[in-house]
Amino acid sequence: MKKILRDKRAIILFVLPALLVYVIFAIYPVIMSGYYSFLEWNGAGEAKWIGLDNYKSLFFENTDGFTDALLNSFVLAFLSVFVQLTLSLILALAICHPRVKKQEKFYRTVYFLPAIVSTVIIAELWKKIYHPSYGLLNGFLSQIGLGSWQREWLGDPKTALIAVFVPIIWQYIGNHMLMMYSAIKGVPGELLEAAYIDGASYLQTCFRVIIPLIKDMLIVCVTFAIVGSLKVFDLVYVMTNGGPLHATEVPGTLMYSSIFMKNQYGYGSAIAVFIVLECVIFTFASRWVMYRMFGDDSNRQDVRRRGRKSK
Amino acid sequence: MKKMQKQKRHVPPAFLLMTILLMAVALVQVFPFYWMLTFSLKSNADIYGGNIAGLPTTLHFENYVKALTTGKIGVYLKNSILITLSTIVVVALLACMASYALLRMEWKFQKVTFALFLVGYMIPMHATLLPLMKLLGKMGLLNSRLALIFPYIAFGLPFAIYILSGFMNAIPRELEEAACIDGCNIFQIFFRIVMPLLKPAISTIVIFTFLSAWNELMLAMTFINDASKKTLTYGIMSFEGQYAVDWGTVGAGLSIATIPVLIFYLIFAEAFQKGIVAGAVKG
Amino acid sequence: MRKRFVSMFLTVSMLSLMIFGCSSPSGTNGTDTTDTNVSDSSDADASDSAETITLTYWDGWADADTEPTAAAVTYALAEWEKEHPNIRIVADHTTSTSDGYKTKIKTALSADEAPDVFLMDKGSFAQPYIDAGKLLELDSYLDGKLDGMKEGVMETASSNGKIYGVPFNMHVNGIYCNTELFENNQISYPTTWEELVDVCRQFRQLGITPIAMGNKELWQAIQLFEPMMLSEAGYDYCLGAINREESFDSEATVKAAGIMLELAKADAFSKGVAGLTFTEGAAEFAQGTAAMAICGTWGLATFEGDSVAVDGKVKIIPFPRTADSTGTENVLQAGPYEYFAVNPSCEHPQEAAEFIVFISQKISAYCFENGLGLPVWDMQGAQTNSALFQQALDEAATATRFMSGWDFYFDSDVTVDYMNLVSELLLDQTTPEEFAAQLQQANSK
Repeated sequence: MKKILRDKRAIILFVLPALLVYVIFAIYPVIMSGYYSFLEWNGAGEAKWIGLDNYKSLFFENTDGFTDALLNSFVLAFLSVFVQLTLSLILALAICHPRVKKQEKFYRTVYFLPAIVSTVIIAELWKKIYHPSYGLLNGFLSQIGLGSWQREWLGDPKTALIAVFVPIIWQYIGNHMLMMYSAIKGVPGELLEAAYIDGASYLQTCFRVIIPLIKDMLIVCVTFAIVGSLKVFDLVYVMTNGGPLHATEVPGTLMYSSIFMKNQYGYGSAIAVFIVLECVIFTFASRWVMYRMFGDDSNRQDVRRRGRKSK
Repeated sequence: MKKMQKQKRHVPPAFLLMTILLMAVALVQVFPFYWMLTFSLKSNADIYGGNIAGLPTTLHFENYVKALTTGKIGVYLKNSILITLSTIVVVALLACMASYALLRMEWKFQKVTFALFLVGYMIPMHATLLPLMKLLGKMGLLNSRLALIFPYIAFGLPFAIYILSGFMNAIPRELEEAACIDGCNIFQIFFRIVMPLLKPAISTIVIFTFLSAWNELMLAMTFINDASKKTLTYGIMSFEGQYAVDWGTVGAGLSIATIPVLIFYLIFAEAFQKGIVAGAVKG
Repeated sequence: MRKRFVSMFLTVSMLSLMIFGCSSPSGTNGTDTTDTNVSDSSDADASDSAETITLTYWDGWADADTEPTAAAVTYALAEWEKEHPNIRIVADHTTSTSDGYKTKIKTALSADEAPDVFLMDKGSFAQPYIDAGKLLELDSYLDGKLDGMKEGVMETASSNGKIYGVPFNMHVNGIYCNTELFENNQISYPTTWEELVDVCRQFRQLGITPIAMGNKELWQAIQLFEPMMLSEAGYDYCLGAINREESFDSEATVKAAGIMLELAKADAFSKGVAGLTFTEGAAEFAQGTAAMAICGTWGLATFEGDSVAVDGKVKIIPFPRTADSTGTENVLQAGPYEYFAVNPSCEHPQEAAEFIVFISQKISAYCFENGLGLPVWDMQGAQTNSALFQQALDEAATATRFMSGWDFYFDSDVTVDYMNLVSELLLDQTTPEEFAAQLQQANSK
């Protein structure tokens, strides 16, 4: 067996095609971005080598509110992990409940729908929900007698950030739910049967059997949620473009406006490199923390924290 | 929470409550879909006039007529399908092969290579636009479907490999060992034993790769100049102008573009459900 | 079951290989391309014969219903094909939404993958590329071809006295008023800034949005702020300050910023103005629920047509003046904003120059006749069929000088700061003095 698994020829055959495409079309451009980040370049004329100056202005000069943008993305990451993933997990577990077997397919399909609908539609929908004059949210507030709570949601620097984050978090609930759901479906039926025979309720089964067994997938989801938040761009760009007054700026939008609006190719590339490095650090740090907390071995009681809460 | 036992006859109140909650969530989740369909039948006056959640005052089917007849929607559709399917197939196959070698086989740099693949998911795509265009230009690939397929594959692989890693670790070693004793070589083990076990993961990958390739706009806009090679998403966004947007037609176009995604999702979600049942029966 | 799955997979991957095989790259000049407007692919075979040449062309107007210039281009390209059967144009139209076209042309210019002929924004957008030699200097190719071009137009496509492109139409800004709302409420049209503030207060009291605006993209507020600057400080000072010969930290800037702040305090703008897009703001005016809108002839089509509530009820008034203004200077917010440029690596520069002059003339005439933009060429006897456009023309006729949006003058990075500073005024988040000091600081980086 060992010998088979160390078959060099097979390894090359398995890895090389993927590696080649990946290195040429994803890694090489990033390395080029890394090179640009040492330049002062407007994208057209002569580029000037300025060493680490772009990174210096990124961290120390804070000319364009980079630190605030970074903090905003941390807020999103926090919300994603603790709000979005919790909701996704509850939904995934709920629709795997043996009692909802009949409606399971319906729920699964419907819960995933927002992920299928194009970002353009999602953005337009939420812009109408938030519309200051005739939006659904303000209308709803005035109908239930909370007219004083009405805001110019996306137009007010105080509320814009949270107003943009809500749709982002909501849209990807379905994605994470689907990933968790597919992992739950991979849990061997006998284990669940055994738990029921022991008299465990579904809730207990979830904590004792299912969640420990899909731990790997949960860690994958946490990583995706963190990385997705740190490099978030699309919905923010469409809904507020970082405004008003930079209130919703995230590193992704700053990078875009540096490169494509301000012609600061080097500086924008430095942000891009920073995003990659930051994501790498957070990924490995979060994996390390999670494996430390929950153990590397799926047999261990890795949901102690949650288990205690439910008691 | 009440205890819920499997074989009870009457409906316990806890379950009723749960159903109500689940249905409420379902309503929220189905709303964007409903919104898109009503949106696509409205006129700009309706859309801007405060009629947000309601039905269209008059049904503007001409939005669909325009979306279907302006430009070359048939050609765009064909391109989107070609590009997306090629991307999906290659990503799924290469990712399975690579992640098997990365996670199950034993060699010197496997950890480093795996980490390298993960980095790909962290790359902000916009930063790679210029280097990619230069690269594709040098390779003579610009303005061809390959100019989109290759980057889509490259950016799809990290996600796929990462998802697979969550599954690959759960496959019992004994299965491979048994096959090995039966005299299978590594390729037989991979294609006959491992690949079928990865079906749930593959269908997840297929769905997500489909979504990202189908909806990708920036590369499609920048690397393709030829109407006969443009994608559907790109074609639809052409109804948006700088100072005016024909929202009804955009909505109609997006509704049309969503149908293939929905069908695809249903098929694959179903296939993977069946795959699991089949796997469970065989034990 | 398993076997079928694997074999299906392999079959599909074979298929994908075939797809790869089929879609062999055609190279950047695209001999097998079919283009939207000009000719079909069968013509491509003719490119073998020595006489036919091909020019690639890009612009940023995709759909004729939302980008009226697209219709003009379609017309111009068809005319070109009729008259020049042996110079084939392979055209590509990218939407300008979300800066789609700008991102594309910038990236293509940086990567040296730009087409033979392409649309450029004037001023600071094009300057870095002119400096880097990515736009062909056209003087020698345009010799004698520019007779009939209106005076001053070519300046906008020039740098250091050399010509780098040919503009094709012009636009003029003004305040668009809903006549019904003004007349029914017996409010008179403002002629000074003080009156404008007063008018806004009156409309707000009536529960009508005074000025419809969407400033999410940041460029609409500056179109109101710049006329304030021009009437307070004059053309020469403004241009001097932009060019760093004068300081923005001045009395005039403080005054202009003060007017803008007063409007903001009077709640003159659409609710949530900073979160609305231009189209959302414009829609409020088109629906007839707002009294005024800041617009230009570029957005005129939004306010005309059977489905538009304000159709036929729009009056264009010039921007107000300062009450104590003594000068006779009447600077209008106007100008050509874009031009067609030629790639230095184009193999047929003479033909390309001919082409851009030709389509410039055709687009100019078409836009004039259909009320889509002011002509850059002399139009003897031609008439426009849009009443609203005629108003804009009349307004333009009174101007002594023109000035485009300052985003065309400031360097790109200053522009972003400048627009955000004006946005602070709009949201009542700053003081006039602070604004003046910060603007000067932004422009002296």
